[in-house]
Amino acid sequence: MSKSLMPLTAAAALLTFFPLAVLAADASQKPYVVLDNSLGQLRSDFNANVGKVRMLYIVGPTCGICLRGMSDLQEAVYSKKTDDPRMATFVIHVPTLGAHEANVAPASRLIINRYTTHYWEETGITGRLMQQVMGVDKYVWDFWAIYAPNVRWSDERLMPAPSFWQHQLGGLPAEKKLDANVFAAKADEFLAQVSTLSARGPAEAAGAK
Amino acid sequence: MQEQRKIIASGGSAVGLSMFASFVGLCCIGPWTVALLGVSGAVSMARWQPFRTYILIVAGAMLGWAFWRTYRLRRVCLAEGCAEKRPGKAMYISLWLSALLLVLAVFAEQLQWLLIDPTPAALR
Repeated sequence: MSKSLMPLTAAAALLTFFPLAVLAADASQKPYVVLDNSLGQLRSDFNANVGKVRMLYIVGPTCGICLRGMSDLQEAVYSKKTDDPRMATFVIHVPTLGAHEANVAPASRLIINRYTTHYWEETGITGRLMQQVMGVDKYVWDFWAIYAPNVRWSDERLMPAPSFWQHQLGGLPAEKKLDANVFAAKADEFLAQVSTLSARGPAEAAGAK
Repeated sequence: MQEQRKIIASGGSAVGLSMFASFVGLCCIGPWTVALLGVSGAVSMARWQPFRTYILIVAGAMLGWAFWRTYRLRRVCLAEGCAEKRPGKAMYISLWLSALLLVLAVFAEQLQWLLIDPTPAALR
């Protein structure tokens, strides 16, 4: 190959492979975790945060009311407690109203916090399991729960019953409709049970001293 | 003519408000709100939800006024024989269509759950 062609070849190779490299990087940097229907990852993350106040939200990423709920909670809870290590949040996006995985990334920007993890659960079994836990006769989603610091997910399949919950569904008690301020106040009550140092991991706590 | 314009404006506003209230009420009928308006647009639309009842009341009042004026005008015309002032057939049809739209808007939330099952497809 002549020397004059070398830079051209290099440029062509760069133009060809750079978009592929960007695509690969995008794929590995999804802002959410994909769950299988065993919910093993969620269970393990939940139990890894025993000692913290845990929030678990089941939402549809294309449901305007769910998105408004997330936005309200970001305002009432997360923007006021920036990266509070005493709480961990799990937002499970389920395919209600025909939602697809592509809808999760934009919706996940509504709650952004160091201790918040978004999940995409493709079958929607999370809502069915929560339905069993709550003993209600309809699929549970648009559901907002708080777990006290000592709660552990011990059952192989079913998550524990929430310590506090609210919803935005028809057919469930009206007095339990999501109110971001009430929810935030309740979260504060649970957070008062956790000291900041004990909620941090050993390395983080050592660094803070 | 002035009277008819007022009626049309009031009826038209009622139709606009009913359509807006339906849009707010039908927010969750499918992924179209997010597809059309984006996530922040869908959130803004959902924020109108608490005001839906008031929007419908205002729409109802405007439509009621339009009905009252139209039928009152008709009665006056019948009494005084003013053929050129009498509201046309189109006016009555559009008023009754507006009323139908308003009724649909009132029940938009209930209708959406009749039309759409939100449960994930794999679990139906």
